[in-house]
Amino acid sequence: MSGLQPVLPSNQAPSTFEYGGDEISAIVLDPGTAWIRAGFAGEDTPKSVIPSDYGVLEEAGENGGKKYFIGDNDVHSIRPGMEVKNPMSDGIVADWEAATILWREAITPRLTTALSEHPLLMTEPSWNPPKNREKTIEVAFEDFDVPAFYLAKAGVCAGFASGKSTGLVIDVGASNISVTPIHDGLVLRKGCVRSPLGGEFLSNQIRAYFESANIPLSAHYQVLSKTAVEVGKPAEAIYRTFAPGEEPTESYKRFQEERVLTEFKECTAQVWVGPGPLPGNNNPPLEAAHAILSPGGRTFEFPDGYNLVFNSERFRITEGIFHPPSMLTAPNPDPQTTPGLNQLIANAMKDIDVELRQTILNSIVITGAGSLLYGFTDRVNAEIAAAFPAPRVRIMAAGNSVERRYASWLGGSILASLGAFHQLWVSKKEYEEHGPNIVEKRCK
Amino acid sequence: MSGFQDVRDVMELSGPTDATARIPAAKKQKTVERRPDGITRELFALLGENPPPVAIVESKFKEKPRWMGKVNPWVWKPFENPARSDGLVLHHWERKTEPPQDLEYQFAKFNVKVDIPAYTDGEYEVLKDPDWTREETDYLFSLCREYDLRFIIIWDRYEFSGGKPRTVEDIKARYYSVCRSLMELRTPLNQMTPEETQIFNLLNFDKERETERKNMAEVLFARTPEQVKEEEMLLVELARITKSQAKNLEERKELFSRLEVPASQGSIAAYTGSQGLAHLRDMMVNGNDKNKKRKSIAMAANSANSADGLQQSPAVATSAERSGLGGGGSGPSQKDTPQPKKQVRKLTEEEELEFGVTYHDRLTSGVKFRSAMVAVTVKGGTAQKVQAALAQLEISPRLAMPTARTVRKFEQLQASVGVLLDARKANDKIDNEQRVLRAQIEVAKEDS
Repeated sequence: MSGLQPVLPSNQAPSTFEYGGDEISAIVLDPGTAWIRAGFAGEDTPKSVIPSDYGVLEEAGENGGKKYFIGDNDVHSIRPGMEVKNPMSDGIVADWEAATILWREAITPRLTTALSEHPLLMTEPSWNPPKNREKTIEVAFEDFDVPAFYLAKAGVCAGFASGKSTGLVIDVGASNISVTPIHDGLVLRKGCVRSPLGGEFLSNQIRAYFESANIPLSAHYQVLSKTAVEVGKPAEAIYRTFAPGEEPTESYKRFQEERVLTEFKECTAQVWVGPGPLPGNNNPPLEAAHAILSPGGRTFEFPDGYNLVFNSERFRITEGIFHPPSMLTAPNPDPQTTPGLNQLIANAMKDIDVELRQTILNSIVITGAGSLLYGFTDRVNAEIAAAFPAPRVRIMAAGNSVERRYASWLGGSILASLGAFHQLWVSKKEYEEHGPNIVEKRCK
Repeated sequence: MSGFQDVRDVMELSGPTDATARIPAAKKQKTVERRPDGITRELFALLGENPPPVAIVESKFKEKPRWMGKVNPWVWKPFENPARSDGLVLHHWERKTEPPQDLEYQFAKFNVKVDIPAYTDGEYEVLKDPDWTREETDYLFSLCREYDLRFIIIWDRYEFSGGKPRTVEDIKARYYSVCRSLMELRTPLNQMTPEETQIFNLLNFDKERETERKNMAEVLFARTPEQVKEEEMLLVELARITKSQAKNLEERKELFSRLEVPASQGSIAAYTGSQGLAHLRDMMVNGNDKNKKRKSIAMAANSANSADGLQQSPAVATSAERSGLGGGGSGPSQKDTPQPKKQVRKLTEEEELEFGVTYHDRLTSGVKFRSAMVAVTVKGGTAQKVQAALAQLEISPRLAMPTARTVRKFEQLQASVGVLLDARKANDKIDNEQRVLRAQIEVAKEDS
């Protein structure tokens, strides 16, 4: 078809009807537990990505108030007494004051200084309670003074990013793994399920494993210089010393350790591909498992130079996602009552009309940074194929890690740049007329 | 020029020997084909008069961009969306030269709403359903309006306090029955236009059937892996059967086409006399080769195929004649087979041996070695095995002295080797089966 059309000269814009877009310079904000992503609608990656964790110093700001340290540069600096906090809890906002400051920081001045000129589209998890939704729209209109606002479900947006308006979105976030069935761009509420087995859980798993194996965990800020040591030999590093009263806080230490754990997740952790659960699960006959799992193993070097080869543990720390009884962090979350990912999918499918199940299983969208674990999609594929042998299962997972991490932002970006979407914005006038409750009526 | 002269001499051609005296060939019309730019003269000469076989790309500088052209400005323009009622003003970039589009926002037409009928209090009296209260029906219709009749979403969001749980079918059935009754109420059935009648009929929702269909879909969805595998296997089997069925049908068709005999035409009166029969025989003998194939099939199908007498008699006659011929010369008027044998002197076996008289079932024309006449008594794969066995026994496949007797003996040898080989094969097979069964018995014993 495109062959028939003449090539468009570079100085001529395509007709808006060709892609249905009409850019109104809207801003898309996708706040998550780990990262806040913001950017202009119509672009393919968020321009501004800041960590949701922020540093705060009591009585250091103007008039003796709080002083916030936001963004990668500030939050990682060593400051005595600075607490590192996160405004989110269970994927939804718990601390509104900090959340508002963080969101504003993500947008201004990186994207714009005039919030009142740009409509704002925000994403929310499917389990966001109405109270929080109303508060969100309040923040947008009262604090940010945006001309128009819309609250879209993150799951729906992630589906849009993969070009699906009907499907099953598996989002492996920092706080939760959520399974969201969507149909025609609307969330099927009965099928929305989640489990606290996301990135934070994985970090805790690694931490628990390190503790049980007596592996010392160091953070980058603690080390001034290091020398190479043999595998398994104690570290020979010069550590940073702090004068009494100058030490960083415990929350800062934990936050910095978390970065090392994230690195460990990225380069060492791996998902057992299956079929079936990890062998030697509950009572690990380690040697046998070693032989089956990996003859090689992978080395990980801690910030202080201490390094180790990890074999079956790489699989054991992630197995809890699919098979909660084998988690290492028990009793929090409870291995018996927490559903694993396969259980989540089964639960979600149970509450969906049977006619839709076939369609939904045919377009499964996997998103979220946690899904970038090596072998994750293969395992999900194997588990779903085992649980639902009859229908055709098709999994869509962006190969590009940026798209996988920012899928819900990208979907929001697509949505807010569509010409046909502009009738859905909640305008300031409407908000003033109907109050915050309008979000329940308009953003379904 | 000497070469030219030599050729003329060799060819003994007379005529003018002077090379210059030749009539010069008429000068060819020079083609006025211009040499393209991207090709050298030498190469072009090689091409001859044919056009170049490939497109020649001219190397050329890129066209100079027209910097001097006027830039088409864009403006950040406010617009209103008629699909909205609040008069929200948004901005987007627009071409300045484009005709103003302010009249109608181009995406406004996508704001479509499904037309959901509304009913009055009076009308509701007719729509009453013991299972549904007025409030719940109102709630259902509001949801239908809100979600544009996406019944799955409506069912998903259906939360009517104090109402009983509803299935998608319940919701659909209620909605459609209300729509249907409403339609009938407003326009009596006999006053409807054909389009309206069609819509009216479409609104007929069969809840029982839908529920049953959904139950079946549920069963289909919940198949176990074994069932899926079995289904796949059956499908493969079905495909195989249908495939071989086509082949079988084709074969059968071919067979029937062979069996088909031309209907006898004319009377058999012409062949009733001895003269007539002799004529018939001649005809048959001549046409024998042609009919060979057909004959064997015709004979096999004799019982099944109710061939008429005419067709049957030639078949008998030919075989009779053929045996007669083998016996050496037969009177043209004799039809019966034993008769010619009576006429010749019966030789004793010793005499036959002595004189080298032999009888043959079939004789082909021409001269050939007797060694080449060793009949192949075994066929197919066994033939090769027999050859191999003979080679192993160091018996040459070609007889050194192929007399009639040695040939016969050799044939017998081949046949018996073939039989022995077959027997060995059968024996091996049985041995194998025995072993497998024994192993199974062992396993069964261990299991028990």
